[in-house]
Amino acid sequence: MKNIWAITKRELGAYFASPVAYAIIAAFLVFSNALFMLYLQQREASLRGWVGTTTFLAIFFGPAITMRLLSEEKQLGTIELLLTSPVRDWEVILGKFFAALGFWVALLLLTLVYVVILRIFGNPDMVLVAAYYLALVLFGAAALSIGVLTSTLSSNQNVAVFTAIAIMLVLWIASFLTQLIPGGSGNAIASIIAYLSIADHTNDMVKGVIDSKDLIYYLSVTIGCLFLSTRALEARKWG
Amino acid sequence: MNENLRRIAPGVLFAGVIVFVLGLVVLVSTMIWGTGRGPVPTEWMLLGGVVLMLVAAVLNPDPVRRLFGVRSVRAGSNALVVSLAFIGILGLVNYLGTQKQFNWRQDFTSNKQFTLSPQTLQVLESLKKPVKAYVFTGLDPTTGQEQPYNKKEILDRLNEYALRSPNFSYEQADPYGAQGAVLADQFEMRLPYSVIMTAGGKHQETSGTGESDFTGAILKVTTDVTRTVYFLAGHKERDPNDASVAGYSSLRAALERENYTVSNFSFLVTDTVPFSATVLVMAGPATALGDAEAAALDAYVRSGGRLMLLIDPQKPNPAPALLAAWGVELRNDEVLDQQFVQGANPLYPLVVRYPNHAITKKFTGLPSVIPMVRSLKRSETYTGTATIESVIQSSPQSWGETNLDFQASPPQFDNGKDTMGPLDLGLAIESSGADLAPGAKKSRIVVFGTSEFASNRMLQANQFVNGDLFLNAVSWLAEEEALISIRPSLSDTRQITINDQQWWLVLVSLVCLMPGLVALAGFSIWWRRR
Repeated sequence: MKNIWAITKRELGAYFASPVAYAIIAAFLVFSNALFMLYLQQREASLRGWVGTTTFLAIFFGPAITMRLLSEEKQLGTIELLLTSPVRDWEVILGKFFAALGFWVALLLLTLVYVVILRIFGNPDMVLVAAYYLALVLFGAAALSIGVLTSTLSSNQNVAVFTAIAIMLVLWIASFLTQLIPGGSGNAIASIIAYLSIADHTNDMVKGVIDSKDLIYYLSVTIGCLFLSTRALEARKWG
Repeated sequence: MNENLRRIAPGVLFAGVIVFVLGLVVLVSTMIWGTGRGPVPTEWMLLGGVVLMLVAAVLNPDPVRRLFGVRSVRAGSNALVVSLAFIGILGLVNYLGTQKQFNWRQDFTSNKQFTLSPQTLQVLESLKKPVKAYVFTGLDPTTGQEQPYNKKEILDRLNEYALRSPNFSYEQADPYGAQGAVLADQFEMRLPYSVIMTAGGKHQETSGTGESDFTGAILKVTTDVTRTVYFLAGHKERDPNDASVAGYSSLRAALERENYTVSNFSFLVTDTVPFSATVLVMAGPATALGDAEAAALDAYVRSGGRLMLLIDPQKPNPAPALLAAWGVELRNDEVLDQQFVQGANPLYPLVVRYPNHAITKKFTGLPSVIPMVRSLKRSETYTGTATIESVIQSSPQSWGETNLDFQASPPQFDNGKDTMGPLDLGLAIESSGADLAPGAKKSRIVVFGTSEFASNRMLQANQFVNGDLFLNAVSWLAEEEALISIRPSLSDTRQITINDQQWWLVLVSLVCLMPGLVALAGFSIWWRRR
């Protein structure tokens, strides 16, 4: 745990010492705040519309947050130092993942200003707001873990970020792809593809309903990608 | 190994790979397009391919030995096996997570908007035979848009049903596809996109896509009896066909959603209550019944009839003999309550007192508004054996005002003349059955001191359970205990109040100021590091 915490602290420090991170935050806030204002036009004391669209933003911002995590280390050659230091591979992956998650949570904390605005001008359902933020953290964790995996696999940051976005987009449109399969939802393959759709698993949460199958899905994607990232990192030692 | 055998090994390997890949193609095409199985079963093709590859490895084991001798391949194979096993475990956990018995759902909306109502749950729990819903959905050929527009909402709702009962399932059908068109014809579908509920050879097209529509349709395909609610006419009663604010058309629609047939009935047409009457309602008569009518009504109730009387204050008792015979007295008063609905006056009591009766037992904590109501009491001189129970009561701060000329003198409690609350606003009476002939039904009567509480005007406000109160009373009279619960709730939309000036302030702060400050912080870091 000490090693993970040390890596997390170091990476978080590196994030906030870099002007790129501030550019990411500023860009996220421009999009996110504009979306919030767009949905506020409906005069509803709710974050529902904003949450639905922000999950789509996470597809792009998640990989942007994680792109440098391992790719940069590989590019600069510092990965060899890290791998020969007395830390395990999974500790490296978890430490870096938690740093990215911390950055994502920091982004979300900035959006709590919306809750303050809704509280000033209306009476939002606070339990629902909490459910929305849980959904965003889980969705973000899944997106970040995919980013960590592609960052582990490639030494080129651009390749890492675009591969992660491509994977996320495929997962996002998975349920639309099922329409190409004759037989619709009754088909076994279509059901599996529809289940893999990352967007579909946010639907209940955006409504304010937490379902164990959605929690299992997000945790599985996150744990699965982190596991594969660890394996991929280990693979460097084989050759 | 014989050199000749070594020589044929690549050919065997190639054949194995071809057979295996062909098997996979057939398997996937069968799963996706449902095409028929070929002359050789898929599993035999896959197995045959694997066997041929193994045979090739046995015939010429050297390349395999060399391959696994390489450190990276050995480590890589181990990693591959472990990774596949791990992904397999995750897949299994996800599969189990989709199974009903392992599923957990929690609705965090304030009014449990996405939680099925207790009534629907009761209906689903009591399902004895399989019910299947067909959702007709697809791309409209004229617009190219997916229809219906609320497909997701419909599927979400039906999914909630399926999660709650092993006897409920649903399936999508494309009305423009070959199979869907056949089903649409078979179910005599009227709308282009509909939900059809089917059970045991019966089918019912839902009237809408709300929970009450689906539950109503389930009830219709799972019950075999036609239940009719008659509304008595001829004494200036409320009319179920009247769509004005004083009318009962909303109530009629609600009753029809519960699969009751609603009809008017007049003693001018026939001198007896129709045999098909499940429940007879007399809603706010302005004049008393004639002798013959009162006698017919009395005979109907005594023979196991089910009657609901809604008698407004300052109106004559329409059937004094009948009510006296069943131990009910109407006070000549009007209930005023300090606990009244916001924006109204004490004549609009906000009621939250529900004695323990089947009609209102699930209303705990839920408000109803019982406006312009007279109080009722059990007759002190009643010596019969019928059970008389209170259904709904006003608050202890209420009183029954007997001075009904509110213009002449402002209403106030007069000790000795007025009656202090809590006062009975509704009573339910059931005959004991001790003196009933074998097979005869018990008589049931529900009396309310007002007919206004179920009018279109009052049913507009869905935060009150007025509609449920009436429907539950009908359900109790009809002995449809499964229906007695809260009807589906509507969405809780919370509005914000913001003027133009505040709007611009928020807009500039969020879209310009906030990201600008962050960008400035980033710029200062870049400047320092430069």
